[in-house]
Amino acid sequence: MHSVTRFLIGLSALLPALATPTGHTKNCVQLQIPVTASANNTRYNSVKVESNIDLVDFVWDTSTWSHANRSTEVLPVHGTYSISAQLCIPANGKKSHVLQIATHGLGFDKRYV
Amino acid sequence: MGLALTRGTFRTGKVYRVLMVCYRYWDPELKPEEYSYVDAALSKGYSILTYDRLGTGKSTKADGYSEVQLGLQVAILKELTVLAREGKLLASSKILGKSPDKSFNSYKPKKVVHVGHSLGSATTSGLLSLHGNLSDGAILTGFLPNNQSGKVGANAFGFEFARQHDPRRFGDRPAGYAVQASLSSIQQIFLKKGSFEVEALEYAEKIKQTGTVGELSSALIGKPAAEFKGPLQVSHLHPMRYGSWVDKSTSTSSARTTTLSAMVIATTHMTWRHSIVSIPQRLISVYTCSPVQAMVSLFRLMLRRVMRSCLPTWALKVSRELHEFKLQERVKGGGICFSVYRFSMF
Repeated sequence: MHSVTRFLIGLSALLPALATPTGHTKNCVQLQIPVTASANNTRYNSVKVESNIDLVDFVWDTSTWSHANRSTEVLPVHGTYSISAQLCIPANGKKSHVLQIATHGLGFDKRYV
Repeated sequence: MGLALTRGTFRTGKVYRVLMVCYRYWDPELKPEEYSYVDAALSKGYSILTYDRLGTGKSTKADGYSEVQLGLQVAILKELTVLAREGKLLASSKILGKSPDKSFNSYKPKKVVHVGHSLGSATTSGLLSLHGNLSDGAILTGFLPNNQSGKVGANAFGFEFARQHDPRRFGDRPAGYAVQASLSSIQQIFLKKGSFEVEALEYAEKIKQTGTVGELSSALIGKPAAEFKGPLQVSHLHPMRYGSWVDKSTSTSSARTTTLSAMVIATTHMTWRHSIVSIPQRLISVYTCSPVQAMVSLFRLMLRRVMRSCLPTWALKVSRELHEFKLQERVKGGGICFSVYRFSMF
């Protein structure tokens, strides 16, 4: 096969991947929502974490018994935060009046869990 | 990622376990028809809001010690829920990309169902405890509140300091932000060999995000959810390698039920799903509450495996539809009914 043809075939195979951002064919809207929220957080007095060495030390600390004596002092927090969100409504959904709000897990964002 | 049966052991007086790995995403670019929970929800006619929790993705990278903790994550989920319920999500937001059709502007849901995974389940659980009246029903996946919860902690993730680990991707993360260091550290806590595609592991690494010292220090909000009166489903979907973890006597079915029941005292309907079997496009639960139920579950599972290998496609389809119907029956309550296949793990 001619190398140019092969290149074009290869390129066309890549195109769908390039052209499929989140929500590509779905009835969705991408939002940046300013959210003002208040909460009673906790003042943990954890070790400073500004390097890999600090972080490993923190993980060690938080994973062992010595962590049991940490502070539980209430720390009120308040602020306005920008939250990235995606709202999808099915075009012809009979149950579109039911909105699911999904919250992902640790270490990922809304694409993952 | 398909079906992955690991083991099934009977223990006298103990629950029977068929631990399965099920690996799903809210909305990945990788094989969305296979992995996207958003696609699945939409195809069933439900609307769905997903968001980047504080400190991840395109949301604010707030202070990693004092701000990005479970308490504030719950408060943000509460505010998002209020905005959604009042039909003000779009009016109060900056819309990125192309404008949606007009139905979005007037959209005001009649029911809101909260779905969480892992720390997202802890966030959702906190919402039920503190603002339970804002939720009509909830599903908590990858969630096992019990006194063994310290067993899988920060030390299981293989974290590095985010900014130092990858300045290109995480240069905007301040002090106190952690990220899983490698493909292997992601595999170690999320995935069992033989039950996942390498592409999915690579994709997970590609889109990985940070967690904070504040989140890793946070304790569950264990307050009773007196105002939550909807149905609740709890799915524990730990990977198989945590078999030994969930087998501990302190996390028996009764201990779990007691712990969570104390939190959701007013729920109308609570269901436990300890095991998930995934087949393409569908997940099937295997209930493991008593030896008798376990035997029934095992029989069904075997039957299903036999069917998968022997029966024509149309028969499989009937079987799946039938099962989905049953599944929906189980979570019906409080006037809502939603399908609960395609769960996520961790």
